Amino acid sequence: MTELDQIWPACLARLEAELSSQQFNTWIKPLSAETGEESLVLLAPNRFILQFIKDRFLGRIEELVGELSGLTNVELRVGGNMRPVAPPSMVSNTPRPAPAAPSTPTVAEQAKQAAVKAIGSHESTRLNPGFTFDSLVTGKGNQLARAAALQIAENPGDPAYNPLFVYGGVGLGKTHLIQAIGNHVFQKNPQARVRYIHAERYVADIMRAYQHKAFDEFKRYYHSLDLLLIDDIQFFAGKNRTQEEFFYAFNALIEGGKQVIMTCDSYPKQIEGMEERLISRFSWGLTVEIQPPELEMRVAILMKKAEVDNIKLDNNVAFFIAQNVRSNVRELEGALKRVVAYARFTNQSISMELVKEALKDILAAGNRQVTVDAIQKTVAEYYKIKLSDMHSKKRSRDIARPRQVAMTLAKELTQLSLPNIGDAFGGRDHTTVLHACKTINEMRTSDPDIAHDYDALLSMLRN
Amino acid sequence: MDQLVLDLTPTPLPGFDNFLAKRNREIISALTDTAGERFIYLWGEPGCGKTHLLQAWIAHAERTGRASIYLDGKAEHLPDFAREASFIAVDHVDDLAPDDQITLFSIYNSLKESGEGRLLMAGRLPPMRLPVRDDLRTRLGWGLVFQVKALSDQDKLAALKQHAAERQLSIPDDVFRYLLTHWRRDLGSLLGVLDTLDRYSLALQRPITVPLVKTLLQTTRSEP
Repeated sequence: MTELDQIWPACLARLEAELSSQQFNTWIKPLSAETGEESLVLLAPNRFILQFIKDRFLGRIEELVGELSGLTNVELRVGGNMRPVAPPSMVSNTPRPAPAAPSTPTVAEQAKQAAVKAIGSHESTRLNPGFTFDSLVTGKGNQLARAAALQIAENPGDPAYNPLFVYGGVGLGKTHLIQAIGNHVFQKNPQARVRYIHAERYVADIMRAYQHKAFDEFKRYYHSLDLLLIDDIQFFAGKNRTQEEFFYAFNALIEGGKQVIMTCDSYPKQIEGMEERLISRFSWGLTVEIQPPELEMRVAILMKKAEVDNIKLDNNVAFFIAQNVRSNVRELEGALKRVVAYARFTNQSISMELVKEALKDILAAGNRQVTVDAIQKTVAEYYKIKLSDMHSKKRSRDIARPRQVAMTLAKELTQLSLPNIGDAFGGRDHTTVLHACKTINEMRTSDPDIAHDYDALLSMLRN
Repeated sequence: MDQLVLDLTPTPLPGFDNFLAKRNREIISALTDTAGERFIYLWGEPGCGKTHLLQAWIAHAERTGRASIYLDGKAEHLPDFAREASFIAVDHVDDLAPDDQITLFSIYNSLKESGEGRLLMAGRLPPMRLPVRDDLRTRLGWGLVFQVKALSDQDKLAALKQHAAERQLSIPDDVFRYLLTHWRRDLGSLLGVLDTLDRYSLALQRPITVPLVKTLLQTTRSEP
């Protein structure tokens, strides 16, 4: 049977090579395998992952398993022991609030009461009632995250989804999504103790509680919640005291079957300055990514926003704005506000001409032309190679790779044709450029270093 | 021996009415619209009048009895208590230190969450090109964004005349034109030199004329 034991590791190696690291880490890695008589049994930590594997990867996994072992059957089940049931550290360290402590307030100074109030006035959820599932526009970039969020909103505390870790770039709707869960839970059960807090405020509240010796109240409050939504957890980086406190709160909530939801600007493992024990806990439940909205979704966001604000917006106008403002949802909404303000100011209805006039400065600022020369110079400096290597015939890896990166950037940032780009790189053929773009774009999904270099260069060139 | 000059210059507060608004009327309308957007970001080249607008907005808020505060990102750390104010102006956002960017981010979030208060910010660059942390940068672009348009020479001439009139200086037109062609052309510097001229002419007990301006510019040539 030793051979059978090797099937899944071999299969994993193949999948790791085929998929992006993102896909692999999110979906494939959480699976564990058992070998049955005639089949390979894959255990998914929760129904959500199971469903996703079934839809997207099962076919390929079956092929691979067949190829590697001759087994014809792959079975998918929920199970596995991904989550340590009760890690020893948790049992010994978790401070429990004294159950029958008299709740009569001691003769506390006013400062303390203020600090307690900052914690304890949290009868309110701090949720924005406008952030609901109904008002959330769905597209390719967030449909998975939304599906998971809906499940949780219906069944908060389900161990399969606890905690929920939502990550993605800035201004893509992470806060909206998690608050939609909060609002849904609160609407269904107004008795539920729900609390939304931004991580930066959590850090400040802890410090305040310390200073005013209101720490027990702080702890009691956070450990008593039914649903904790904590935004931009990357703000905990380097804050050791906060991390320790959050660690206890997190354990207390998860142990008690209470839901914890977090957002972050990066994948758990990539958060710098965060304790290992926290990072590993962040991945216990479900980790989902939100990606930037594609054009159709950006149009839909604008139409939705206009509808909510009672603004008449033509589809082609929305299309024009969405085409020109691509970076993130916030700037998209900002552009719409500008248009509406301008229409009100000039007392006109929103037409294409008006939009072009209103967004003139925004468009001009965004369309600042980047030249191939600038790209070559920036990339050469970044990789510490000679500028002349951009045009040279040398094909060693340490020169060819940066050159390919520069070509890909040229294609993305300039309007030049591929032959033009080839010319600018020492008279190369346009198929060489095409190959470079393809290679780099593939590497961006599989090689975190290239992905990081590329994004860094992109933002350097755009600024 | 130089004539000593008493510091008795009447300096009017910046207001919307002494802002030359022909090309920037839309901005004033947004800043004074009580039902409008609560988060506004102004950008434009140095000397186009951003600071003036921020201070005018604060003065306007104070007149209407609102707790307000003007903060200069270049000069000071942003105090955390600023969030207690309901009208907050933050100037020179491009110069905010990393910690101050977090403070501004946090103030922004508290105002957004509370549904009350207003935040007016200004910097040299449009939001998407600002060298600040991503989460702050995108928030700056979330509200209303205006470019403050630089003044034309005509506008500057008018501003100089108005500035002189408010200080009860009588200055011949050719002096203004001379300044426009021989001095730094941003309004801040132009108005500054007018104040210097005022003191200089008092000290020398000579009227403000082109020859006097020439002498002044020669002695201060190294300055700008």
